[in-house]
Amino acid sequence: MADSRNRGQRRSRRASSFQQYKALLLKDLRQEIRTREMLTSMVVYALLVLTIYGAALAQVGDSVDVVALAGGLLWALIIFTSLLGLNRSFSHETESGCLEGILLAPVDRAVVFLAKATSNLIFLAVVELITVPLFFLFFLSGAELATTTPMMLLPLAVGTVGVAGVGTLLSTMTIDTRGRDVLLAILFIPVVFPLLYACVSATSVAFLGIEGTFGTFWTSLALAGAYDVIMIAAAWGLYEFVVDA
Amino acid sequence: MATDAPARETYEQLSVGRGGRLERLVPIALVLGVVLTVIDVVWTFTLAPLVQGAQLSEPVVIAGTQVTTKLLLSQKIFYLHVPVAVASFAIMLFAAIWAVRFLMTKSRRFDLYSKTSMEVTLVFIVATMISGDLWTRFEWGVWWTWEPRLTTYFILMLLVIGYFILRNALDDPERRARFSAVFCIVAFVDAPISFMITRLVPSSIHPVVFRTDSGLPPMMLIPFLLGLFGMLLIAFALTRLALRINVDAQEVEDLKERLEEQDAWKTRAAADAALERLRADASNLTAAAPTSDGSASSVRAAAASDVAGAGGPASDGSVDSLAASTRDASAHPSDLQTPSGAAAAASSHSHDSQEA
Amino acid sequence: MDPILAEVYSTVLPAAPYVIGAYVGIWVVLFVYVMVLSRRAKRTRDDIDALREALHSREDKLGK
Repeated sequence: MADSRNRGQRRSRRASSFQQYKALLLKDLRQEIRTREMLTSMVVYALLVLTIYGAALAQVGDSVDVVALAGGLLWALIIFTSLLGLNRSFSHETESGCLEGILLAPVDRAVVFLAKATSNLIFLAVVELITVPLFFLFFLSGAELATTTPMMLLPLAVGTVGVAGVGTLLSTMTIDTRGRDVLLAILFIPVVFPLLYACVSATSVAFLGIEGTFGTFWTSLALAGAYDVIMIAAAWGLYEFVVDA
Repeated sequence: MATDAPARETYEQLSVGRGGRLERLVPIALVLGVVLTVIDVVWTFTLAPLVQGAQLSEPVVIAGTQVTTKLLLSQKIFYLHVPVAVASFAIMLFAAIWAVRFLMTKSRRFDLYSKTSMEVTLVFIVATMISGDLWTRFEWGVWWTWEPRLTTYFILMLLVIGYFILRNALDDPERRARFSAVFCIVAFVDAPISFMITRLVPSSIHPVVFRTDSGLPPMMLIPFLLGLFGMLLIAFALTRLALRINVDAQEVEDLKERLEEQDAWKTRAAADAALERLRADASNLTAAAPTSDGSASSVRAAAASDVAGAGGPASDGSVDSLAASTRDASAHPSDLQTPSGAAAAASSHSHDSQEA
Repeated sequence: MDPILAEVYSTVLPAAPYVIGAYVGIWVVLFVYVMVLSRRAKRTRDDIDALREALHSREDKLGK
């Protein structure tokens, strides 16, 4: 019943909903462009994770085929970096009381969710645009890359969308809790795990490029896509319960 | 006061859960469940044949049947391990359903139901993990392996643990209920994934039990089904039992809180009354002051009565007299040194207050 | 014992501790939970007694 009413509301002012969405998204982007707080910390953090990888892999020399590990390493990097970004994504709002302001305005909660998820997605994509080439530079510059390597962009895109969607819901839940940084990790990593598993498997297949394994690639990609659809639909539907003050 | 009304409503709703028809079924379900599981265990170790393992070097005839493979005892774990695992999924389903109902009705009863079923889910998950891990250790030779079914089930356990960490991190009961319901629903998505993963991932080496062509002979299927129903009944009884205990505990907790609140109100009222009485006493003392022999102590008493009078619901005049009296006291500090001066000050003082 | 028979049952005896451990483990976990529940129920009963006492003392005070 509440759902149908919501939908009716949404339909009756679709244009204004889109404008609200745009306004909220632009607010986030403008704020980030002005302060560059989140992007800087995320990129630096990603660099630090890469440095740790360097230390972890320093002693193995040529005895380990890094290409076989690369999918997992890349996704560990993405998950940790996005965890940091998601923790920070609501810090402006809570520090300046901005979220309360948004929620007082007659804005559909689903629009707030979509705007926040989109801004998180954009930030994540920007960070990946910087860190993924760096990852290749640091760890795969000497390795022989399979011709199918560019296909890793597909799981990367699907995975990033899912991370942004689920992460937005969970980071909204943890903003006002005690020890929110740790709590977000505790909730986020298990929830996102199926997606991570599927994406690592697809990325590894793309990196290795072995003939006949592409069935696994598409299965994994389909699983990741299904996860995205289910989780984002759930997060969209549940978001009003998370922000209702 | 406005917040009091919905709270009282919830108490009534909470107690509705008791004494229903389901409640009367609990002991029966528990007994039946235990009996069924015991039959399952006994059947497992007596009548059910041993599963055949690796090929023997040459066939042998035991008790009139030809045996060509090694016999596996470790498979016996399956008869209880799988029912417990299925029960954990079933209870988690109820936890998610109650979480949805909480979000729809906002009734605290469903939050408590959801939390309790998550608790029971965690118990069954731990039991599954222990029995499964022992099987893994013997059959696969490792304590742990990142096989899809094990991994997703492990994640399920982490999600349930995360659920309780989330509950502990939130202080406001209303928000805690809402957030944990949302997380319960999100976490439940992993349950079907874990259940289905052995079919979805071809590389999985975990045995698949639920399928139409499972090919279990009746002597193995019957004890397994007995164990399954027995465990589900035990899970049901345990959940209802935990529900009743948690609902009672919650209700007592609420009653204590309300009693303390009432006490706080009462002590505040008592303190107000005591202050009022003190003021009355003090004004009596002031009235009695002129009849005393005008010592330094009566000056102080008079001054105190002025202070008390100024604090209470008095006219502006008494405030003026307070100001005057304090001015008096500070203007003639030396007067207090000599008894005569003090007496003079006291008399002028009490005149002041009487005029006021 | 016949070597072939020994081979047939070669995994049965080593597996026994694990099988027993699994069965015992499941029941131990369930019993631990029942214990936790019964302790919680006992605490609730104690709380109810305390509440009743508090109510009585309050009524006595009112009666005075």
